[in-house]
Amino acid sequence: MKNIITILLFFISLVGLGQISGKVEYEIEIGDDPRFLLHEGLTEIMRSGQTLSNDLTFNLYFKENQSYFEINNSPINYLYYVNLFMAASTDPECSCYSDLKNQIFSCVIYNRFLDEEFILEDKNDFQWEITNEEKEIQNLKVFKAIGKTRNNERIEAWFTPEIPVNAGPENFMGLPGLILELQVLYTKYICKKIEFTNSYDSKIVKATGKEIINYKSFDEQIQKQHNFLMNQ
Amino acid sequence: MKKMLFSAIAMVAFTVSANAANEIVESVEEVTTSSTSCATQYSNNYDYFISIGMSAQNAYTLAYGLFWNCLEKTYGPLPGTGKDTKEATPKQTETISPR
Repeated sequence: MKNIITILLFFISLVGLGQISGKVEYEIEIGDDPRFLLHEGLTEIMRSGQTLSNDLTFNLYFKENQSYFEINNSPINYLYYVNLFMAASTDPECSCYSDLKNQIFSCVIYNRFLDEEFILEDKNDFQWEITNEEKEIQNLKVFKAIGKTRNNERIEAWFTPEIPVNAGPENFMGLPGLILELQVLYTKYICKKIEFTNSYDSKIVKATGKEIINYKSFDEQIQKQHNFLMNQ
Repeated sequence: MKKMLFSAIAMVAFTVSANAANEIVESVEEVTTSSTSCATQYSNNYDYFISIGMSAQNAYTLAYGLFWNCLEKTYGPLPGTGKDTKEATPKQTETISPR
């Protein structure tokens, strides 16, 4: 508990020092999901996804109250990497803008069924619990936090209060420091490089020009598509 | 997808249009039957993925991906689904389904 208070105090004091901007580059690792190994088609997708994961890196651009996450080489051919996206336990294919002050994310998602892009805008409650476990990533002290996705999947995040921006990969946020490593089930983001510069600030922009949906309408979309396929 | 299934059916029907009319009917029926078996596979896969503890959304995403693979195995690459290049086509940029 004492440790957590120290982290929070450190975070609060650093926020007061002024704006921090920069870029984090992540690699992604797709581990063996035992459920995929139970099914021949899924095993094939997972193995292909694991190979494809070596091809891509991901960038998180951040400043004090906003961040933007995207695939490094975007735009990419979604279908070329489709097995990676299916094998991942998270959604590395999404480009996400995050309003860190209000904890609202805005992700561009591609609906393969409708062959259309949407903007999913909503809030998450990851129910973070900060632990006392610590280690170093890129010479920065990081602390472990445990959370849950909205599908009740376990999240393990390692954040550094030394960069007091509550952002992370995709739409993961809300910890008192930048997330440098994040694992959801068998998919892991690992920070390989951090740059402190404001030259990427112009990249931190919310997408517009597409229909905006929230989790509720997103789930309804999926349900309709599922019902359609079940009735063939 | 409905559009895609119909396109696939239409494509096969067009390919064989030089042949006798009864052959066209046979081909269309064959494709329709294969589409149905891919849909049956979707349904079976979805139920199985749920039974092994996947969320409804993950089960849908994976069963739907396998449904596409099934269609491609049956008909070959479908129009507009090129997987062989890493770069985006003008139509699509990135991305599927946040969990």
